[in-house]
Amino acid sequence: MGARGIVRFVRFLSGNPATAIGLTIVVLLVLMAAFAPEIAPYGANDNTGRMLAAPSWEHLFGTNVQGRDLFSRVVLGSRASLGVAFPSVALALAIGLPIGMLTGFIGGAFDSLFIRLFDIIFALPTILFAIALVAYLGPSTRNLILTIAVLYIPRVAMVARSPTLSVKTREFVLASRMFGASMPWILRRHILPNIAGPILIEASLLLSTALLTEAALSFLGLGIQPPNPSWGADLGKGREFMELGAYQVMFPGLMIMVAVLGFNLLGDGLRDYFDPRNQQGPKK
Amino acid sequence: MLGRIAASCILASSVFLATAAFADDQCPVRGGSVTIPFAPDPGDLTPSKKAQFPPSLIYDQIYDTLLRFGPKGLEPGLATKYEVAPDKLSITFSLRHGVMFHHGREFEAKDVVFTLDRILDPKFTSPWAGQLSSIEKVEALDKYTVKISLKQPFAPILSILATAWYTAIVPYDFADSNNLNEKASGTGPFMLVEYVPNDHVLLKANPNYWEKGYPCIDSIRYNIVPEQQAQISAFRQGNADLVAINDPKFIALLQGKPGNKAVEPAGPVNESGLAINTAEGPTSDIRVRRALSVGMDRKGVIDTVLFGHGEIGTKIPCGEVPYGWCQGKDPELPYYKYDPDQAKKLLAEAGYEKGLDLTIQVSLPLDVQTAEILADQWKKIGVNLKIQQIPDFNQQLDNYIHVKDQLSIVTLVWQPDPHADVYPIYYSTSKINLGKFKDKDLDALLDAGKAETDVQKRVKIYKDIQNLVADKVYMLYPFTKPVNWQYVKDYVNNYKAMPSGSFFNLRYTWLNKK
Amino acid sequence: MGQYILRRLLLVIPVLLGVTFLTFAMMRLIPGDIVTNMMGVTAGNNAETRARVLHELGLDKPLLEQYAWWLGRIAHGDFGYSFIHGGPVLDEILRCLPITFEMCLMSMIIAIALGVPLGVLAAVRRGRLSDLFVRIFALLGISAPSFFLGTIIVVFGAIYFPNVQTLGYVPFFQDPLANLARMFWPSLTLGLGIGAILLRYARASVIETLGEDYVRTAEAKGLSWQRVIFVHALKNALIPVITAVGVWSAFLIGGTVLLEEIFAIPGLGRLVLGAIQSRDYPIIQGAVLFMSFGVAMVMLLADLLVALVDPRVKLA
Repeated sequence: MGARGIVRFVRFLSGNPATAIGLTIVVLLVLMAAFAPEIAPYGANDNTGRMLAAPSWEHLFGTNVQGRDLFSRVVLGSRASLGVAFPSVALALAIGLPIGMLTGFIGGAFDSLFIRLFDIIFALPTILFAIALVAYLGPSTRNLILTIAVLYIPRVAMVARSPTLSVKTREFVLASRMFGASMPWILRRHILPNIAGPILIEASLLLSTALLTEAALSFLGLGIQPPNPSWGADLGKGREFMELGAYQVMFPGLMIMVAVLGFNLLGDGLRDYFDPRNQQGPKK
Repeated sequence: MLGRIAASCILASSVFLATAAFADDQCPVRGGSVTIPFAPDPGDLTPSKKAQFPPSLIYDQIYDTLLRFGPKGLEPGLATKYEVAPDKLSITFSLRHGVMFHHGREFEAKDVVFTLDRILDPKFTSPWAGQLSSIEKVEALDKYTVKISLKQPFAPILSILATAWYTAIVPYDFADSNNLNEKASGTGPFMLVEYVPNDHVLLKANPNYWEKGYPCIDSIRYNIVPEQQAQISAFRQGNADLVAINDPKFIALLQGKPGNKAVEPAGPVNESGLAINTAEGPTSDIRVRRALSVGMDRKGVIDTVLFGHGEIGTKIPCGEVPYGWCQGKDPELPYYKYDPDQAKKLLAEAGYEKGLDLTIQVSLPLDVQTAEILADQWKKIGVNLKIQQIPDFNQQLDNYIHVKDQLSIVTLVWQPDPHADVYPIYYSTSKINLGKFKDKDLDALLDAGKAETDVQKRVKIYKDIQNLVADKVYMLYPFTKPVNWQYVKDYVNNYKAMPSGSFFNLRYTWLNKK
Repeated sequence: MGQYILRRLLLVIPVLLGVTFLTFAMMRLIPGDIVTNMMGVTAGNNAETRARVLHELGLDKPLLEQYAWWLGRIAHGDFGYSFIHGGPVLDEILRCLPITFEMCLMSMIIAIALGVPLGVLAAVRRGRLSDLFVRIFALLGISAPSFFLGTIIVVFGAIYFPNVQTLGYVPFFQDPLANLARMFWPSLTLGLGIGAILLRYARASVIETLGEDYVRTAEAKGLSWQRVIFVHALKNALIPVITAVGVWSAFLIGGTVLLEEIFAIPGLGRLVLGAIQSRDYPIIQGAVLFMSFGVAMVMLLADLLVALVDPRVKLA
């Protein structure tokens, strides 16, 4: 977007404090992950010599059972957590979006074949599918990303498919087709802008559930491998120590919550921003 | 020597008869139920059918064994005494008279023959067929006498016959014709009422139990509660009378809290074993393995992983009854003293002065923590340890045995006899030789330990084995700990822990609940 | 209508075939060995014992043959017997099914009761402070991992409220009140997350509907806004929410797995988790079949409901 676009977006933000908060959170998180080694006072696996210490100025979030500084782990863990959530959702979008648009646009047997395929994945209990898949591939960050992406592809595709179905019968699309426009051109030019809203919401929701799925798989020992820090893994481990001090789980848990909050507020805001009906300005 | 054990057994049995005479005092209060949160789901309560140990912690209340473990060693069980032939190739057991099965028939020699034959029968596919392969023949000499003939002297046989996990006595006219998870019949102090998988197992007192007057309580209920934290919560909420803690980090939550008391652990028998691939890769170099051994601060592992509740690990754990040898706080074994400088020197000699990368597979939570501490410790000697967490233990073991992994932490379960501890994982032809090595000297010692029936001589053999394994670093043992730490409510009396972690002694327990 | 239902039911068959085959293949592909699991490492690695156990369990045949055999048995209503304890699989599933069903139903009720009214409120008061608060509350609901919330309830509940029973299961017909009291906690844990998701759908779709021409017309005609919201907008706005309930029911059934483990509830989820750990294939197959069928039925029900509410939707 150009300068005018930026001005318009800033104006939109000023009328939407929730979106502004969401954007701030996401930007801060990304910055934190980018500069994690500079921010963290200790290495993720450094033994500070103090086991299970309560939060203090020296150890803002306390230390865990191995004497590791929890603040540093939370900061460094953002890399692993966001590093799973973003790529897996991006991968799901990259594959699911074209599939969804194509199935919706082409229809017929092609459509029903994919619908059946997705129905199968939908009907499988999510967590069991994830357990089996990670167990088969072996636990590693790459496989974690692959597994989460596979789980999300049908959902992205279904979200992309239904608006495509309704948009493709609109006059302007029919007109372009009559003038011989190619399918990719129509998809990019007409369909994509119209499904951006639902997709943005879905993507923000998926980013949050990706964080949670990572946490749930860590709980089962299938997530980020120890001793590497990640919010999910530290939450799962801290859970066993939480009676000795709530700080053992509070901060990784809080980070997941804040991140989910940020993704969703931003996603909702972007949806409103791109909603054609909202161009007249935010509703009072 | 075996004669001496037999003598002590007879002595023990007469002591037992003496206590039985004071039947009125044995249960100051009768009745009540003990509830235990239990994990994992036992799955199958059929004796000798599956290799899993936890189910035997339930069915050792339903079934008896010929002998059993007491505080001073083997005690009489269904057999009142036994005699070993001078050539050590046969043992004759005299059976207790008047013992009744739950389904109302008297226990007799035929049942012992049936039980052992069933394990040896290939059609039954018992995991213990191999363990008992030294048995040539089991025969009933008369209604109350059984003779077991051996192919060669086999010292562990008595301990195996004292372990319900291996040889719980089942009735010949019942065991094969019933699903033992629905209906069971043994001679034990408790009878199976129902087993609802993933929910609970309910046992009720056997009124005809042969230790007259026992049990004092009416029933035991094992509630299947998978999570340790939830088990402790159930105990705090008053939904459990006894809780067994497997992970020492939870001890602090109950230690010294009002309303409950700690049961003295019976002794550390649960070892964490670190299997090393000695066949290939950098760990095939003995200097690298020795470096790992002296670079391991075992005390440090115990302090952080076990919060101090454990002992330095050696192959044969301190606390194994009756063959356990406590080695004291500092076992005098080669390459056991923590010395990072020597470790670095050894690594440099092996050509790794710039350090080396190793991968370790782990699955159980305690092993994961151990691996993390080891990664810390070995980093100081230049070894970069990469941890791979495998979702389940079975899969991890399988990986290690079939895939050429470098290191793997294996929790070794309680065994009734040192032979069962070392033979399968050290013998050169064993498929599960965890170090993947072949050592003729070690094989000779293992064979000697299997045949030697003199306890003094056996002690020496197994010490030699430990020395050799520590010197060659075929496996590493970071620590040994009790199987569990048990806590009971204040009103639970006369309960003692067993080395195996079993709740066996609940049969003598009474409750004064107000 | 009847024809539509029949057609949908027929379409469930290929889905179930796909699901069961996928499960079948996955379970056999994942590492970890059933024989060592049952027989221990010593006996499990003995070639002779191995062959015998595999033969007894019917695992010595090719994968496709095993699957075809299993399908054939299912067609006769025979779910087979557990590898581990030898009991009939169907009995086991029928014992666990009502428990999980109750938990799902209760969580869905909690989720709808929380999510829909708050979502409507947030939409009507869009952009205002109450909207922000409701949304943040909802997002906290989404963002707390259920296993984490569950553990907090189990652990701190037992410390601070030792008289509140949170653990285990009491059969409904044995003591209905105790049953509901215990099932409430895991259901709440699960319901919060789904409720927060429904809230988002409800908010989005009410906003959408409020922007539609007919609502504006109704407003212009001078109908009071309460009437507009409750009679016109709400009915239409609920349609995507109903669809969402259908879609998220698969997630719900998955969610019961972890919570049943934490709250020690003997439901279907724990049955499968345990069976995966012990590689009890017949149980896994049977339970997944039932679960998938359940999800498919909920989806069908959701579609039928949508058709009932929305006259524009034609079932064909």
